[in-house]
Amino acid sequence: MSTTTSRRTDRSPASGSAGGFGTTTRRRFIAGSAAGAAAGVVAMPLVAPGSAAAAPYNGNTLVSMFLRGGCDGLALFPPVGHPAYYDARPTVAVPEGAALALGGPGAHPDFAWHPAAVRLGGLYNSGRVAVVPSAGSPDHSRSHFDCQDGIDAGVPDNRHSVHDGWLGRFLSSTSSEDHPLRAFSAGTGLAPSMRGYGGIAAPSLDQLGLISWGPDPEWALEMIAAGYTPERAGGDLAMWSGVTLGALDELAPVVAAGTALPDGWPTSSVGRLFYTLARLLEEGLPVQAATLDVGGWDHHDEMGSPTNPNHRTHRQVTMLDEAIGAFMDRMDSAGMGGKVTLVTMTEFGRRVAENDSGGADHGYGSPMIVVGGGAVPGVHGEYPGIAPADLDNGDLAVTVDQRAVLSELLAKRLGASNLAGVFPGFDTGAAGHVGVAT
Amino acid sequence: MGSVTTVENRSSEPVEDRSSPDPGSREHTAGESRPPSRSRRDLLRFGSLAGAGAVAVACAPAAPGTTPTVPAGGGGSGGPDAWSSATGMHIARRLTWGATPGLAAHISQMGLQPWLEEQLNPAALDDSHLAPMLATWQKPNQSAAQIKASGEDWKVAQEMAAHETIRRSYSRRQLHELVSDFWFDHFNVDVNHSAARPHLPGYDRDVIRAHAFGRFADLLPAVATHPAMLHYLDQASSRADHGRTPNENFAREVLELHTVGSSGGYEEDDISAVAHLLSGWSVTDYVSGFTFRASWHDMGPMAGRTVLGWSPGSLTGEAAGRAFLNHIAHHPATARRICHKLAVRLIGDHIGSGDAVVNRAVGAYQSSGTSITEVIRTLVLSGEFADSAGAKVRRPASLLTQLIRALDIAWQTPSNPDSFLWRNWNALAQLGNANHAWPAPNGYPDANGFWLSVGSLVSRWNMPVWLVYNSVDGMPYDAAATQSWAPNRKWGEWLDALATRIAGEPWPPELRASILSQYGVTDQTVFRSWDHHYAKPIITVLLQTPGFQRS
Repeated sequence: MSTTTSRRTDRSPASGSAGGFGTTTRRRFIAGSAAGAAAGVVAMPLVAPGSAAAAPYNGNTLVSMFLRGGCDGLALFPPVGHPAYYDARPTVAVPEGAALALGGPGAHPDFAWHPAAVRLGGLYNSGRVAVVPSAGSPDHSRSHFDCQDGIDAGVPDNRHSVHDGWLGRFLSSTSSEDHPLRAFSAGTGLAPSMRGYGGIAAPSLDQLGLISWGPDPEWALEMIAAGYTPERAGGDLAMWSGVTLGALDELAPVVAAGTALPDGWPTSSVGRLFYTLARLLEEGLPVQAATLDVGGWDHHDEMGSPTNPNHRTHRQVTMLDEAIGAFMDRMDSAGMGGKVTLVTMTEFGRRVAENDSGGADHGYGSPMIVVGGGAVPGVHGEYPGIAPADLDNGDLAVTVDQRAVLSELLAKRLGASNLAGVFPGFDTGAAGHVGVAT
Repeated sequence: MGSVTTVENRSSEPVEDRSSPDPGSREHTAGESRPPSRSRRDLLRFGSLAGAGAVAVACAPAAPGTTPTVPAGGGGSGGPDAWSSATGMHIARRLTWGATPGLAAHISQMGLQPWLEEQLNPAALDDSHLAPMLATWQKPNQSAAQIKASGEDWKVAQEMAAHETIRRSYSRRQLHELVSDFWFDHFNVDVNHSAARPHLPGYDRDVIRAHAFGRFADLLPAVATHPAMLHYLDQASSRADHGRTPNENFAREVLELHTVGSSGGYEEDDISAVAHLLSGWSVTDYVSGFTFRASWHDMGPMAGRTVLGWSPGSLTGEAAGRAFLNHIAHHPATARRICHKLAVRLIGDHIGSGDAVVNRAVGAYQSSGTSITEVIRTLVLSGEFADSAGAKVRRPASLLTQLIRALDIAWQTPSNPDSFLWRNWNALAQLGNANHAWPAPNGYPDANGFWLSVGSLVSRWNMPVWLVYNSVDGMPYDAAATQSWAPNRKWGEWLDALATRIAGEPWPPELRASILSQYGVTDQTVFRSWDHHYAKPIITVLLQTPGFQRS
């Protein structure tokens, strides 16, 4: 092969800027690799040509976190001001004295944080967190898989009508400038919400570099590139190998700078995922949308004491809280704390009444938490109450559709203007904006 | 396909839309053909454009007729009688844990149907050579009590994984290994669940493997009475006596995942009823097996109710639960769901649940009293199977054993067993496919798209380096020994022997030419004294070619 070109020698140092798609190197890469179209993926307008490329990259990042398993909002963000909470949860409720009160610009007497949510509580009190305690989807099935699929698809009431995800549709429809690292799933597979767009997935920086072997690593890459033709590999593998080789180019300096967790960084799996994302962002790679899954919320039993660090829910909240805290610290240090916005969602909350195993079964309404850039501090959305008469079939009712929150974040943080295409069948206009972000 | 109709702007770059996996249109649409001298940049460009549709991450299987292993013409896109065109290589790739040219030739010579019958009777296949290989690790053979007593129950995951890599690599009972893996996914129990973990070897051994080729109606209650599942889905502690609310976790997954599926015809209230029906299905203690605790049982709303066409009548207690399980094992929705999932595993994820081959399998399931082997026969002996060469992207676990088998690495008792244990585990953990470690009860996905990502491809390309370069304790590989395959000691014959004996198909021509150029040799160059050093990089390049990624 005569194409062992100047792939690496023409690289300029990674830009430290988070804004804009382009160092010279990247523009050259894009022009050279995709004939003026776009690297990685050329997206297609979904709604109508012309309305699509309306969201040039503005330097902001939206991190969509899915708390898989059904996060118990009544433990994470307990309604301590509602006496019915303590009636329904005689053994596992968070005592008001132990919960972390809501202060700062979003001070609110009716809610508090789980005692383990120290970092979230601190961020909240400094005015950087918005919480919607009774969000959810129209899917009442209480099935993990149906509910997750519907939310990831962005069409929870008709999930089989589409084969892609809400972020995938947003990304595909806003392609005025494109880049192989525009969409990143921190994890071993592409998040289902990103389906439909050729995003990049990896759990760790180690998996973003080819092992150096043999006498000529450049030649090894050329051989892979030459081997993965669509005729031999099939269209899907050929496409992914192209995206992968392009991304390896971009990622080489990040990987070369070291992949080990720094001292003191949370070593949980979610902590590691956040570190991978933090490194990409602080190196200036233009990740516009990222996803990150946090499993382990399906607490049917043995939630344990809210104040015992060795008990189940406490450990789980600690894991989430430490990882978010470390990530936001890192973003702040890089001067990016105002550009990166996290949002959490889960497939359903837990039943209001605890069960006889010291846990809670599948419920309905659940919290969404928005952290970081643009978050409007406070508790948002009408709270339905948790007295028996207020419940929806034994569960916290849903007063805010998750798609309303996500629509607002896409519009306000990423400049999206095609929400009807992102959430087909959902009236983003009539639903209004919840007010979680600016 | 709803809103993903991305018709605009695609005029010059056809892309297959994954959302319409119509086998009839599964011809090569993934991109225009290019001259063989394509450059790296061209490839990147192609990659971009194929992704373009992205709404359709292009998902075309390797195009029939364009890869060497695909039968020309095939047997048409269906029909039970069109299976005979399946090639030995296709069968070996799809129905074993790794094809080798020798196995492909053996199957071709023997014929698909006789080979399938042999595989469906695993007890008649001698696997005694495995015993000394497996003897290094004992936990997979032990009881939960023994494992708990060892104080090392956390090692269960790694030891089971070591046994599985060995069996998948060296067993003659390949299809049984493959189908056992399918059933484990279907009835997944996460090895990271601490109460379930000591029971996992017994579950895999006495339930999954024992019934993998049996009747679904026997497999289901065996699962439902095993402590691994009872702990995993919180059933062991579920009680309905004295007005208690039973835990619904197991009841829900029995319906949604194990049998009829979420659209199988039950309602939310039925979940609570079935949770009552199964209340009292528990365990004696943390290391023992199933027991029915009558004092925890209360039929509650199940009494007098009809769920999925079944009502308890006068039955209560364990007998009522067993009767219900037997009923839903035979339910038409279960038949279709199980047959479709098996079709996806054995043929590909382009098969829809209403496809003709699934219809035929449902017929076999129902007329045989839920016989799993009858379903497998129907699916494999089909035109759809014959036509599906290359349709599946290997899951990482399957890639690992495909590479081991292609290299024909002989097992050698490791000098440091823990070294093999961890390297084997980490190889798959890094790819998100560690044995029995999927964190939800629905099991590892069986969809091509799930297993393709940048991180996944990088690790897939790194995996051969791990085997070829890093001499694994237990699976040492001597790349230079392949020079003996070239009796005239010439480069050309050696390269061709590598391709023939490892990959079972010729080198892509431009790769072969590039290798000769890279090492400054021609076909006729006789081995120089230092050329054995080049065996490792060249074999690594071969193992990184796409043929190893598909089955």
